[in-house]
Amino acid sequence: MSAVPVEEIARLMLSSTNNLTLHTGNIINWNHLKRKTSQNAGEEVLECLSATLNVWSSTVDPSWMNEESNNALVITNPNQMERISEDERSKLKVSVKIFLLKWDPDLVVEAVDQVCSELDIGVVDSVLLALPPLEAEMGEELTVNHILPIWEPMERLYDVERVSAIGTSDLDKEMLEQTHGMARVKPTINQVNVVSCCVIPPDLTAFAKENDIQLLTHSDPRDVLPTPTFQDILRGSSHDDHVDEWQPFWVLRYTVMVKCRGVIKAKGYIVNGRRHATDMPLSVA
Amino acid sequence: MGLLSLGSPLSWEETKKWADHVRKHGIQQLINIYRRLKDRHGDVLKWGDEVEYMLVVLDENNRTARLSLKGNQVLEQLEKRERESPNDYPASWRPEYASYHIEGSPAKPYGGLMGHFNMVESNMRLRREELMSLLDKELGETAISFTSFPRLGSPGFTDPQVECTPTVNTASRSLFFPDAAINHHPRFRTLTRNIRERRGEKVCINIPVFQDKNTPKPFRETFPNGDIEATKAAKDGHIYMDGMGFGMGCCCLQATFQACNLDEARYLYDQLTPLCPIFLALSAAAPVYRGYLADVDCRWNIIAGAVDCRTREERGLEPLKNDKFVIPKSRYGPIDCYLTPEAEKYNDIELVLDQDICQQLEDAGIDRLLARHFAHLFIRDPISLFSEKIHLNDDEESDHFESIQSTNWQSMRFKPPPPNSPIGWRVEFRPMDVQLTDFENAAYVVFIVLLTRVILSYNLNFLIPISKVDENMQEAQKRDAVRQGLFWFRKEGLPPSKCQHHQCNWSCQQEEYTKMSINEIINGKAGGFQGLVSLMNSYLETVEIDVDTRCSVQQYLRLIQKRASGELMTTARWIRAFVQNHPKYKYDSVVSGEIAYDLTKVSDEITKGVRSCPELFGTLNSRTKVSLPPVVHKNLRKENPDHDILT
Repeated sequence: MSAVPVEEIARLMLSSTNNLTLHTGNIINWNHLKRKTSQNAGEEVLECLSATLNVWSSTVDPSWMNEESNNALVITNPNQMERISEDERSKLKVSVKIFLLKWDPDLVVEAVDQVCSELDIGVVDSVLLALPPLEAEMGEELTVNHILPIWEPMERLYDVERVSAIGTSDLDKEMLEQTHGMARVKPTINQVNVVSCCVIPPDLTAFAKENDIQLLTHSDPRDVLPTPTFQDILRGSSHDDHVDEWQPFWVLRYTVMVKCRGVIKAKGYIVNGRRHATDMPLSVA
Repeated sequence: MGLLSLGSPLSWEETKKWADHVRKHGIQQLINIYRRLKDRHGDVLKWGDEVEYMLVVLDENNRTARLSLKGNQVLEQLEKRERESPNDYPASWRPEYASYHIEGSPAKPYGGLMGHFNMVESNMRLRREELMSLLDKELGETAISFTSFPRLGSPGFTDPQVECTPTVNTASRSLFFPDAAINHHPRFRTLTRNIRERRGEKVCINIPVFQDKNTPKPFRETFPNGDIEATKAAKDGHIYMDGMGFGMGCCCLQATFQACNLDEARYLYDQLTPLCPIFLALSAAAPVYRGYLADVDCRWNIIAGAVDCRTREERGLEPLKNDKFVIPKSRYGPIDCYLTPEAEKYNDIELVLDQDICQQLEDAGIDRLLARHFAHLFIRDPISLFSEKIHLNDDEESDHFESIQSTNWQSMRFKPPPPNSPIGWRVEFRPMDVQLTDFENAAYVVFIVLLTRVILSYNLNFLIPISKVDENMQEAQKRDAVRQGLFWFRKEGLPPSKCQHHQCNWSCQQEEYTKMSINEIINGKAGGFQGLVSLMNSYLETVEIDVDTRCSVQQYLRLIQKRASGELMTTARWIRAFVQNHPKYKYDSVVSGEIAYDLTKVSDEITKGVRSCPELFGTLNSRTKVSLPPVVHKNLRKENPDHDILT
């Protein structure tokens, strides 16, 4: 058997899967990200995912191919993994934001399970949910009836103490009030875009204060990982003609802080994408 | 200026006799502290600020502004209030050198949550309100945070006016700064007298005067009674000052924070050192001395001269006979060495130190770098000793250590934990001139403390040789250094990568540092250093931060950014412009009583917020709060039952 270049193995692995999860590992010391004077989450995700794929492609081990895994491939940046030890855990605060890209409640639990598995932790301190873009059949406007079904898994995660605090992102006063009113487990956090941090509508501020909701800022773009961007990232590392069937399903960002000291310990992204099953070549010659 | 043990101060001769005793026991006290507490670990960040105020009397009828000497009485009332409501009182008060001078800090330290950054300004405001509530507005009394009072040392600058001659001023022998303006607590007068007696002559401060159109050339004053000593000591073209009060009677802004352990304290001490000159230039607020416009914008060298106790031998003017060392710097000055092993290669200036003390420290288990740092501080004599505090229990008390440690006044101070307290290893950032308003003071303090979080999160490295930091400290004080100065600064603050990109252009052959403007250091330059603010924004976008805190922090960063770019004036530039644009100014560098009155009145209005000053801080407006956001406050109260940080 002639030696197959590692990159080739990587491409084959990518081509034969329909469910891909990419984890960048801890990007906190990726200097090139900080050399720019400013960069938003969208640009950051793009850069980190491309880099992760590159590193993985050049170091992948064919023995990782697991034919029983129902075609799901999990790629973790081998250079950047940092698991959290048990005695460290109590001193750290793990915060997660899920950018849901499909209106599927199961994805919420899946994302949380994935980050817990990657970081080797049992509990996430806070999870914030950013809503997917409205799909054609959902109508013109977001309503609380769209939100509640995907809020429900958040409540369940809270019930089983998998997550200590749950919150929303970019809900205006109306939506926040309705969601808060109808939810069984109320959100205790709502994110607001940083550009309006000095001009928050007073009714939102008042509502948040009355209902013990923390208003936190974020600077994430509406669309953190557009489908064409995701496909482009993959195109570079795979051979097959079906790259344009890939769709990103969720993006998760985690931040690990040392509690009460204001020091960031880790930050990373996990992205999940899928495509419909097709006939794919499976074996490595 | 901490440390107010009561009692009977010794004369200089007696103090000198006990100097070796104080040093010997001070070192033993340090060793004891080190052994017991070197592994102390704190899980919560605790930090605080110190803002200083001058008590001023504005006389609208006579158009005069004078410094009020009733600081002691005001302080007594403030301390009484502090004692009477220990749990809720927001402030902690301390006397300072002058009797017109008061220092305040938060009653409890701020903690390590983002929300704490939003409490600084509110707490500063509460302090100022407290102080103001004890002053008589009818009599024109007010409190202003001038770094240097423009007519300090000019005739009649105090209220009440007091006699001021070298004969009457037995402690300082100053021609201009009366002993009556020194805080009545014996420590301050003792320091004044001992510094002078040790030195063997009056302190001598010569600061270049600003040569304006009509300023005489050479600028040369005639002194009261044609004083011979002054005439000889004063340099042409310079403003001459001859007392400790000119320096220690200035106000400044300081920030102290507790590191999680000894190593982190050393790391932060080192990393903030190269930032001292940068923040001195950015905070510049002191361009006027003794009624003259100077050619400098900061107080630093004035204070260095004001407490310079070195003898002629120590200054290298005479061969060493009675004294042990030639010492290059005054006991007030920029630091002389870094503390971490990684920084050792940047310790490129000669460190004068006591070899025996250094050996003793190393024998006791203190590593070489730290031993050298303390052995260097301990070349100084104690300059204030009380008879009741000569023989101490070295296991329980640390007064002798503190005596030497606290009279080394440097740009950074490395503070071991006091014995018998839960306090950890701390670092004090000391270079900044104080600003007029609490918004500005909060901005500078928050910027620095936030920067330490960024440094720790991203393992940043700003180290440059100490000799270059010293050069920067001189550059920083020059007139308009913030816009015109060039400062040595490390090109690349990020650590050597674990780089993920193949095209990492990091070349180690290049010179590590280069000259940059303040604008580049703070705001970055395309193709060059990305700027401190860019690194801080990266941090702020990652952490959880509530909207009000984010709004305030954004305003604080903008202030610093705009001062760095020159879009907003530093206080020094503003004061200069005010003087030079005053209708009564004669372009001769003289800040007359009338000009000083108008300047003080306007500064007072700006401080109180009744007059805007867009050229100084734009229309920036923070969302500062007295306490943490309600949800956080509730959670913290649960988690922090000792109530030992502000919530």
